[in-house]
Amino acid sequence: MKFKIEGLTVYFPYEYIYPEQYQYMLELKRALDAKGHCLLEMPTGTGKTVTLLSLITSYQLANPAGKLIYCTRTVHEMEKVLDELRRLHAYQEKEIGKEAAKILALGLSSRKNLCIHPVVSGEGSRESVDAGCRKLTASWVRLAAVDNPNIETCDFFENYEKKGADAMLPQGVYTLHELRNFGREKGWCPYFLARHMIQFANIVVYNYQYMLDPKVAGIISRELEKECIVVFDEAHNIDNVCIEALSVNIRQQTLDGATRNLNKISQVIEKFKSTDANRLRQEYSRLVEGLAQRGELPLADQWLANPALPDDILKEAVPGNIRRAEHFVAFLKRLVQYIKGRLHTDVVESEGPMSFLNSLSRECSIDQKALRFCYDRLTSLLETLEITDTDEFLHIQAVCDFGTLIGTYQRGFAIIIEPYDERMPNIPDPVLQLSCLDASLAIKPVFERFQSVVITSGTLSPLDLYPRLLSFNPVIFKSFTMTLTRDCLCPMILTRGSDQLPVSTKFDMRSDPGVVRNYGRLLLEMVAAVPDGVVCFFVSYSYMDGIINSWNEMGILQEVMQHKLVFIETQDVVETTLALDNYRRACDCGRGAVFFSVARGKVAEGIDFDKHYGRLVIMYGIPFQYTLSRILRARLEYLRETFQIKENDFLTFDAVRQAAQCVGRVIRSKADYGMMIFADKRYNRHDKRSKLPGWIQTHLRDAHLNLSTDMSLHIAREFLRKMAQPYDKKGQGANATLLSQSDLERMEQESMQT
Amino acid sequence: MKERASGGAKFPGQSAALRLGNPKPLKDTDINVNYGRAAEGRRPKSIAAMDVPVVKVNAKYMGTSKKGPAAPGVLTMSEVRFKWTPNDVSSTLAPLNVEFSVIKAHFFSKNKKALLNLSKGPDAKAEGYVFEFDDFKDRDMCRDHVAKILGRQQGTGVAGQAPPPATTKPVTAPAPVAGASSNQFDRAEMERRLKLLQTDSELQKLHSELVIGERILSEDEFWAARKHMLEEDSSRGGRQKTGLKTAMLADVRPITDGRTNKVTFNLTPEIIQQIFTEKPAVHRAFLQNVPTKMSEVEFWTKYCRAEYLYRTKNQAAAAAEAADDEDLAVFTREDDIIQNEARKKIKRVDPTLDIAADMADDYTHLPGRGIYRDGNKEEAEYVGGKSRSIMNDINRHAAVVLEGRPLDGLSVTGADTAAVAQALAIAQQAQVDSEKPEELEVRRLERLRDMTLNDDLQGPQEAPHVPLTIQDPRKYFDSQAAAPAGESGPAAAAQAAVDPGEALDSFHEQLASWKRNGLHSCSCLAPAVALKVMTDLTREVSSSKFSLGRTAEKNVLDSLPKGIKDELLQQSAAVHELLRHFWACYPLTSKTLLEKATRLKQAMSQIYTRLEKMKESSSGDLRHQISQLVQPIFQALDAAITHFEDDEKRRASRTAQKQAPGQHNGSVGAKLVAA
Repeated sequence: MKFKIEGLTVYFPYEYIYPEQYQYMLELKRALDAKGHCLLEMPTGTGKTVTLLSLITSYQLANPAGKLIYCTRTVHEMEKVLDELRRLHAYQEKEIGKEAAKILALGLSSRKNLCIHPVVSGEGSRESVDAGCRKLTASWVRLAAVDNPNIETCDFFENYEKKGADAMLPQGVYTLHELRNFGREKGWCPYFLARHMIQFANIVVYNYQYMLDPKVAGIISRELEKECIVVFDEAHNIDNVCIEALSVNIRQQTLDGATRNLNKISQVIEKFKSTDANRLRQEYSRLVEGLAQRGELPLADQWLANPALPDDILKEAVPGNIRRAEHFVAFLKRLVQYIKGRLHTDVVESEGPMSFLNSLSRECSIDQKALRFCYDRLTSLLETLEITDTDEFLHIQAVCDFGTLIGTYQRGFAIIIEPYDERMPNIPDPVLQLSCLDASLAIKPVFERFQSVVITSGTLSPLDLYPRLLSFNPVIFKSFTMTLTRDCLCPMILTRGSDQLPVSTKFDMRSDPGVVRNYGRLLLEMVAAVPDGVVCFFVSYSYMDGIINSWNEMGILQEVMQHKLVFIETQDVVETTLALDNYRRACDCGRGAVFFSVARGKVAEGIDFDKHYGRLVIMYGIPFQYTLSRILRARLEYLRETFQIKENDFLTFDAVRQAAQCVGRVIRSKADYGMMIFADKRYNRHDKRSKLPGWIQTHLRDAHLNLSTDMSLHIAREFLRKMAQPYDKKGQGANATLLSQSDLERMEQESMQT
Repeated sequence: MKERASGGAKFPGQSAALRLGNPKPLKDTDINVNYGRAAEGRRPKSIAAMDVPVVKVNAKYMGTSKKGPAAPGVLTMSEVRFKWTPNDVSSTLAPLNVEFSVIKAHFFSKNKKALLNLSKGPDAKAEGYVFEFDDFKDRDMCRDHVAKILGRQQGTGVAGQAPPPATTKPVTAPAPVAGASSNQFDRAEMERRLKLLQTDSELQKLHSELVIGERILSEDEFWAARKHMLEEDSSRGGRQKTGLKTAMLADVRPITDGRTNKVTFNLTPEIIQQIFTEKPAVHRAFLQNVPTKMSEVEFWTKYCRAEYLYRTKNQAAAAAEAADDEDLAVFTREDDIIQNEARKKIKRVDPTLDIAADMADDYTHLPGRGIYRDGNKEEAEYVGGKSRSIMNDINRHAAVVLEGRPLDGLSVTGADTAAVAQALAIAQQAQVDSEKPEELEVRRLERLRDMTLNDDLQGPQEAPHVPLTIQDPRKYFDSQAAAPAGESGPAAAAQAAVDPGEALDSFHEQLASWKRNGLHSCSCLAPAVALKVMTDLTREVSSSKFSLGRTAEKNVLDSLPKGIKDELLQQSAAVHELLRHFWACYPLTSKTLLEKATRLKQAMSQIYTRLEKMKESSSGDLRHQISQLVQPIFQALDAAITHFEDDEKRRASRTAQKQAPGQHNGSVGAKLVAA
């Protein structure tokens, strides 16, 4: 359908639109017009993605400037976004013709997901693929290969390079899969082609980190223009991503590795000194001029960029004491040695970057300025030394990251040295954690650089917290409610088992066999009553592991298996992916299945269990963070001091948003329906319940609070019977839940008249 | 069929078991491996092969080719063999006694002489036995019998039998003979028929009664009316396969008797098959070691011992034992085959849930980056590292169940384990080979579309449907009818189809017209008819109400004793079948049709008397009910028999008029066709 929003023609690839989608578009358009940032919460199951894409592409058609940078959390979300985009594009082409609707949209991921080289792509991890690629494509390797045909290069890269600027992607929408196919067809390297095409693309879909993590953003997103519209979808966890992006942890292994790396570097320097001393001298003079002067590196030669942000660092000259390669190596050796010494401690130590810097300069005369240049100096050196096995040098890179970060930021960070894990005090595993406490540090340049940044998700409650956490001023911030034709959501709070004993995952109760059995009985009763897919979320892996073993011994698991197949999320992502795939197939073929998963896990983050893939989701317990963690406590303290956010409020907010996130996976459209059981007595308390997002709260009737297993079973049966009846999809009059084109035209006219 | 592991197997790790607080010290723990018969035997039902003569006719045997001298004799056929004995003992041809298993095909002539060739090869040229019959009726009887037996042989795929070609040619050129249906003997066709019979019990009953039992209908005649069923069945591309059970069979739990230190593991072939599919490493070890290195019992004893140690959480002991015995190691080690499989499968996974691909975009979790220990996450080693866990087993099991039976055709019952292992290996290989990249690509796009398309916002679309497969139609429809005429019953749906407002309007209209015209003028039924209908109805209602003391809604049929009910249903089915064939015979254009009609009429009158007898034999109320039930049958039969008799009279009078009996058949046919 095609309609106008305040004068803008919007192309929407469906015959109907939900009223809240229309409202969402309206607000989004206003934010874009105002060239400001916005924060929009819209419940899951209302088609956020297509709404966003539809409005922004229509906006781009009307005002052709800037790209849409769509950031997703996962690769599979990326695929979904691109598929929606393909449908939208097809519709636009139909409406306004092929020429007018020209777009180029592509997904971007790492080499691991894009490489088509038969050998390199078979490597296990991302790092090894990166290194494998570098071995074949680095400029000096290729140079050497010209003279020596025995040196192996990558044909795909060579073909792509030969084409030069002519190597272009035709208009269209490209998922990773299609990029690979295109690459195979042409014989071009899809990774470098995609990197190259970013500047010509209208829409780029990639991972958050390509925008937020300075190390990656520095090489991928550096050249994006200011007019870009940046969208962070499913952004409820964005503060965590920001924090992780600027944090470094150093363990014993890291230091051992770093020492090995330094020895290797020294050897290479010695070798170069005897054979090609000129190279090192050239580097020296380049460093005097400042790092910015080194010029454009070939794409294939790039290392990860600087972990810190300020651009001006590049314009200064590198301090004299680390300009010479051997001096720099000695400098790093001292740093590593110092950290090693600090790691040998029996007590937990916690301090700010300032005091750490002080003791560093006192004990091994390392000054802050030199530290700031640490990472760039290392990259420059590694380039000069023509090192290809990038995956080997991760350890020394981590140490330099650490140096650069503490050299750059004095606020918003904490250094915590823990000799062992609180939960397993017997196993010594010392770690020095540089923890970023302030989420706004990483996202600040994004807000500053781009005209419009859209942060959106199904669960952003409380809405006012995010602008504080990320310290930005949105021009629009709004939460939309969901119009429903029928009560297709059925949240319940279960506090007791059938035997009236309370259930909870509170620390003192969770291993109680009575609670474990009651949880098991709940699942058992439900799998017998609920058709198709059932999803269970547990608070942590270790808890899930324990409870599954108990259920197995009690025979509950076997009974569950009489009704449905069981699949479990494990820490092996490959196994989990296969389990998910099988789970879907089991639901498709009608056998029905149960999926056990973990809140905050990979599955809870991004997998939809809509339609028959999830008719019921059980949230076992409240997924609180491990509150004794030092890092968490440091962060809470920081939040309290800088933003006046109370510790308990934040913890509850965080736990409840995770729970809401888990249960929200069950519904994705209004025709869909699903039940949600919060199985913990603590949910019944007002302070927890009130933090649930609005669209859950409105459906949480008083009769559905404080239930026991048999009561909830009864409600479930009633609900399922009700949902199985045919219903009027469109709703009536003021409660209309579907708007057709004519409805919208009428609305437009009405608003014109008033 | 019980075997026992030879000798008690001693546990080196026994002391560890003791420490775990096992109430009974495990000295000389016996591991008994019992092989039982799997409960689920899926043999195709077959009619018991009996060596009783079924067919006995006069036939001339013409030797192995048509040119040979013919000698008259008697041909008898049983279910397994046919015999021919010459009338003249001094004949040059010796008596025959041949099993049907050597016969590969049969051929018959269309006109002239009534010939039947039972050939040992796939075509008519091959050596065989040629018989000449006195008339076509005898020949057809034999032919049908042979066809049935050969069909069974080929349909069930007797082991080691070379498959005959799909089509065979008749000896002579086919002539258009009215009434004779497809004479092409087709193996696939036969298979389809057998399959249909196996799945439809009612049809099978009918078939056995009319075709096999009393031979009122020939095989072809029976099936000619059911072509659509066969086609439907074949067009569906085979039936749904029976899936595996969800229960974890491979998770064998040992049984202790409580007194001695014996633990007994019971393994059925079905369990073994599941173990093989779920644990490919065990499967491989079995193929490698049995029977060359150890016997089967030894192998399973080892397996069970490893399982036992694992179960008793005696990981250390299991590891120790594995270190001593390299054969045992495969049971405790991580399964490398599964790992490899996973690596292959991950490439074909639905891209909308491929969380493995995310790893490649995750730059915060490079070693040394991000937050290591913050209470949000747990580290992998924390949970127990790489050792095998119940979670892996559960996932693996569920995956295998979803894959379905790799050995669909092979019956699990009684098959020996080695054969199962071999067949499984072949089946798995075939599975791997059968995957095509294009299909995968199509499927991938479909999935993606499914996951992103919002159906709700789309215009109305036709819902896809799956054709219903009903095993027992009567049961199904009865249960539908028995559902209360409340909200969800079909009655409600029918009512809902009529707009209530509309219905009310029409009712008002009627009422108004009555008011205007009075009751007399309305165009009612004839009073006599109305009265008859009403009496019939009330009688039925009152009688059944009286007899049952319950509502009249209840099916009268259900109140009958089961034996009588079944008998009645079967008879009615038979009558319907016969009637269908009977009416299909008209107009009687040829002699064969006439013969058939006569035959059918006789059969019908037999049923008539049988039903009468049944009615007579029952008593009181029951008789009344039965008579009501059979009334429509009687009416239909009456109509058929009357028609036949009338027709016969007419024919007789016509033959009397005509003085040229030689042209008898043709002229009647022509006339009737013209009419």
